[in-house]
Amino acid sequence: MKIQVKVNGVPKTFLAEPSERVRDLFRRENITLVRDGCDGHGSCGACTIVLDGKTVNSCLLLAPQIEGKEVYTVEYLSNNREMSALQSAFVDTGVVQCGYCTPAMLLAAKQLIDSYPNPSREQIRDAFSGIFCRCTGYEQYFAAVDLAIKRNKDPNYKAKLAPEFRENLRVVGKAKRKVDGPRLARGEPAFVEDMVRPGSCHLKMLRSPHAHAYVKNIGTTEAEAMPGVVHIVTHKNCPDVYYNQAGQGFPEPSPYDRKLISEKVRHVGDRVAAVVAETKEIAEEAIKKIKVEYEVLKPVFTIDESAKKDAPLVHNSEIEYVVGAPDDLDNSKADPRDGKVIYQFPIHGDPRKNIAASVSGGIGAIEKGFEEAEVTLENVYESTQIQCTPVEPHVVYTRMEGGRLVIHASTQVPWHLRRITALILGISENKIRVIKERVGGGFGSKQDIVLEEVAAYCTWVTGRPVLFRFTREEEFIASRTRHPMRVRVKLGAKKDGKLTAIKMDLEANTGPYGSHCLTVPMNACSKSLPLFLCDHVKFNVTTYYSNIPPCGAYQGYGAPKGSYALQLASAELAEKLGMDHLELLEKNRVRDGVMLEILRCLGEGREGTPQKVSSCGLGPALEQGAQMIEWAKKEKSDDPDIKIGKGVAIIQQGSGLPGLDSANATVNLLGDGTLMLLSGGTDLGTGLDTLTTKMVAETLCVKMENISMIAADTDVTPYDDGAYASSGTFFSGSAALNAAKALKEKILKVASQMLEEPVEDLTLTFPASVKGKKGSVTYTEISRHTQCGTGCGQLSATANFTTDKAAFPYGAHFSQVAVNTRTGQVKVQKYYALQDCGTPINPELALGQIYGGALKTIGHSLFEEMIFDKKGKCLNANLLDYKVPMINDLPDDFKAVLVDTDDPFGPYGGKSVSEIACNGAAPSLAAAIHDAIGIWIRKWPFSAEKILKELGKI
Amino acid sequence: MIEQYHQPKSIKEALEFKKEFGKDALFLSGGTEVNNKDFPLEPKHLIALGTLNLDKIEDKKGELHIGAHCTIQQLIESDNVPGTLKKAAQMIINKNIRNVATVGGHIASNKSCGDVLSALVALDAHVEIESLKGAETVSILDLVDEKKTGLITQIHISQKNQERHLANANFRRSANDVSIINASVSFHNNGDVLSDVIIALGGVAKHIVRLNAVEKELSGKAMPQREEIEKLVSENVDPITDIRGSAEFKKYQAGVMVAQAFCTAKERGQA
Repeated sequence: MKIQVKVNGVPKTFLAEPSERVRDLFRRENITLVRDGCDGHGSCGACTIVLDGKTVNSCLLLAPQIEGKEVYTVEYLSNNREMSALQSAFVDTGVVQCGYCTPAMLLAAKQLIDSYPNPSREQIRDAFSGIFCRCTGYEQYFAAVDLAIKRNKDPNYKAKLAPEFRENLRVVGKAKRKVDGPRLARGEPAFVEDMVRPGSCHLKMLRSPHAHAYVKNIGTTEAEAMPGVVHIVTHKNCPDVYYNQAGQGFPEPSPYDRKLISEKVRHVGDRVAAVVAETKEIAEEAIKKIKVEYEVLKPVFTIDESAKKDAPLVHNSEIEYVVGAPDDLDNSKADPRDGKVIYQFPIHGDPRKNIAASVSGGIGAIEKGFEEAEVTLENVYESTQIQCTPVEPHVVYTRMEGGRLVIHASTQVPWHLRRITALILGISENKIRVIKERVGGGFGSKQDIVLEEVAAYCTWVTGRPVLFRFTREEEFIASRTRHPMRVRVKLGAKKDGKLTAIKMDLEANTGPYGSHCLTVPMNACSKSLPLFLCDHVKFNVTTYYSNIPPCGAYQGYGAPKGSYALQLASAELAEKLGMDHLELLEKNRVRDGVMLEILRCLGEGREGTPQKVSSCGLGPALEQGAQMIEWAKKEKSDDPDIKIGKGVAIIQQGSGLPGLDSANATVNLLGDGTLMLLSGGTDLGTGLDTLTTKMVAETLCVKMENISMIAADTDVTPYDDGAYASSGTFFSGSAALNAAKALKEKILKVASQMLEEPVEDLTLTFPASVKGKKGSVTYTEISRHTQCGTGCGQLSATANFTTDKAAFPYGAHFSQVAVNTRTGQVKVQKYYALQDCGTPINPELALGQIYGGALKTIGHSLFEEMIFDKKGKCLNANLLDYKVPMINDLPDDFKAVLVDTDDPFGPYGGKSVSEIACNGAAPSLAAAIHDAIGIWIRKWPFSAEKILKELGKI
Repeated sequence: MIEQYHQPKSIKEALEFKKEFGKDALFLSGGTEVNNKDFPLEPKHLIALGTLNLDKIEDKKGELHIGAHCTIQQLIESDNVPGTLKKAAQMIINKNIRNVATVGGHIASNKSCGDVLSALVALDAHVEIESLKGAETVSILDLVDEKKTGLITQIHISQKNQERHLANANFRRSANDVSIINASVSFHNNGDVLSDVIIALGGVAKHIVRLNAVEKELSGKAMPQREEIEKLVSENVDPITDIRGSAEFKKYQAGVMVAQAFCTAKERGQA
């Protein structure tokens, strides 16, 4: 039918089926700024448009419903190439992180300001109430609206958007416009879905309805005969190559325990058949015509079920080791249908007992430590399975170009993706180009190759361009989730609170495949134990295979659960000792300059290295936080049902993996003296591209706008391990810094020749020139000199960054909760996240990272939880039933504070900031709940039902 | 798959379309339910109600008339709508949804978590429904209990019912969750004595229910202690266990929410 509608002020006529959703119609008509994060449930708001002056979800509207109406999308906001006041306010306040929800948020803000010239906080919350943003923690949107209103009146209005650091530096430590911000705020094509060419094929996956079964027979004849079906892959015709989907440095500690499609399915949602067809609808129809006969096996879901003697084996496979095979390896009882498990090196796994990996270690003598103790405490802390929920689901677009495979990816690990894909396809890496597009949220889930390799294989086999995009349900059941863990903590202490012994026995559930099976659970120990100075420490980690949906990396990488267990145990110990928790933390906490011997046994599958704490802001963080929350003051509500309590947790993370990670960057001097930065770093919306640009701008005394950058394109930019393990600032940032320093040397050398002055007499001066004692020369002149027929050629420098030094960020998270003892509800009244990230290179973006991490984990602590039926089917694999924090879930008073430290090893003193922000909420809130109602909640989420049970109300 | 999208010019024409296509046809109001990905029915014909001028909110000699095509957001923005009904509308926290979802659609979807629906039940609202036989005004409870069907055109709340003490309370896991338990209560207050008590409760059965036994128990008396109401309600509901909570939890929370609504209504005064 014909639809006439005015879009962004222009009358349009569209042809549409009556059933077509407006979102789909607009995408089809290249009005691309309607995104999709919930598949048409209306629960994410990413597809927001303005319809006759109201913000609405275009996924819930049929095309004929907009007949005769007026519609606005974000395209309308931009004035030619300029950003509107609103768009620039969004970028400058740091709310444009991944940018996937930005168009929706902008429209909501526009309608808000049009309706209320000076909106209240409540009106702002209401305007954004339907739009899900996983990155920002929403808090900075209030400042964004305020700034937009001021800029509407005065386009040149400048606000102080964040604290500034390092007076001696021009751009580092200052809020500067995020380099990818304007592109995202203007809504230019940026994401994988924007790169798909007309006529591309669609890939859909037939997934297992069983948690554990063999595929006895599979019939694809009828499906293959359907017009429009291009190719079908099953276990019968897929490459006989084992791999792991974890995007980790090679050789990975995660076992190669899967093929593209296996004969055995190991979780509800496991791959059974991949169908490539000319349309999505044909692919979906073809899937229905595939006939599968299963031999259903008994599944195991919990740690206890997996660990039970004679439990069904998730991998009754042939076990191989690339190096270090044990002498007693016995494959005689392996079932060939289970395939293989190939360990790259020993990680103490025993698939015959469902154990994927294990590790033990410690310092001192733990028994001695407990003997010395005057008080001991032992408790078990449990966490459930939660999902990363990036608003942009996993998506990939693959195509052939000149005999090479091009992969447009929303990934955290472009180079690992290339390597793993090359392995599966049996081709060399030079045949593959991975282009990391803007990533609409990753949070660890996009560290793994969970769909890219299937699309890549299909394109390689068929030559056809293929789009593969997960549904929201697939995001839950087939991408990555946090490992459920059970942590037994035993503490020993003197009566004065000094810890004498710490023991952590940690069991983790990795699900069907061993993605990060060693390193995530181990990180729960390695990012929690070193927070306490104790002579006797012991940890045991065992990770089990099971038939739950796959687990893997999730922002924090195990640390949130280790932190929950150990920090809450320390709060419990303080109570047992009759001590203030803060006092106990102060007595035992890590300090500047101490040597962390414990790290020797906390390497990732190999021996680690003890590290000296190079900078630690814990002292000021605790002091300032205690003042902010009025720690000693007991709050009381007028409502007798409401009890108020306060809690605290100290936290840490790493900044990449010393000795394992590697990053590279190139800086080229262009003909007019401007610069091109080629960074391997993978920006997920965090501001890494801005950070690396600042490294170059600061070092080479160049304006940021005179540096353009390309990042994470395997054809164009040099190698980088990727964005994980909080490595961006430290590794990718340092690589850019090193490249800039290397180019600086070259510039000085040429300038020395041109000025006929020794290099020692020369300094770089802003903007873009070299000054000597006698004269000066601009970069433009240098560039023309070197690039002419008699010059030495274009000045360019590539540098690497590796290190054996660590830079740990620290922090303290304080919270105040009001627990309603009648309803069991927990209201977060105050949440103060004080973090030391060394020099905050991008302070406004660093604050956004903290808000985002903290709110995400407030959600994990209070209500996020995947729920399963008895057969392992996830019952809430959508954003209606799996609750994520929205703007109305914000704490009443939410503050992120940057505690100033200057790390000697970090680039310009910088350390990581994002992942650590996930480690404080669970222990801090649990301690606050105890302070309020006297109950220790040792299993998350801290639901009302759980609290009421603990209170004996139900 | 939707084959035809009908845009009738009159209620009569809408009803004729419905008659012609029978079970293959559905009325479409805002569409937040019918157009949802998981909507269980697959109609071939949609009869859109957007052009029937059913989007007015009027005070007719003290009786409030709400057009079925009014959005939930219109309730909030209207000067004619009682504050407590606005509060129920605000419980639908997602503004993008409120801007499209209509009162008529909300009633027709008849969900147990319907916050506005429970408030309308508690206000003893009446609904004008049309069929080819003519217009009929029925109690909203007749629609909730599926005793009556027809095209909803208007919702009426009498002056007397607007004078009721009304309050809503709901329990949800997070701000944007649907109500797991939602309670709306209303009564007249003669001195300290409650009369004409209505308790509309969602989350304990497939549809919103009236707790007749509890209403009877509480009418004609001074409001008892909160705990007594909680106990009475808990004893009179029989929810199921599902992903949102155990039966035991819902039973308890139903009591708490109803009692909470009573306390608020008592404090708050008239609707």
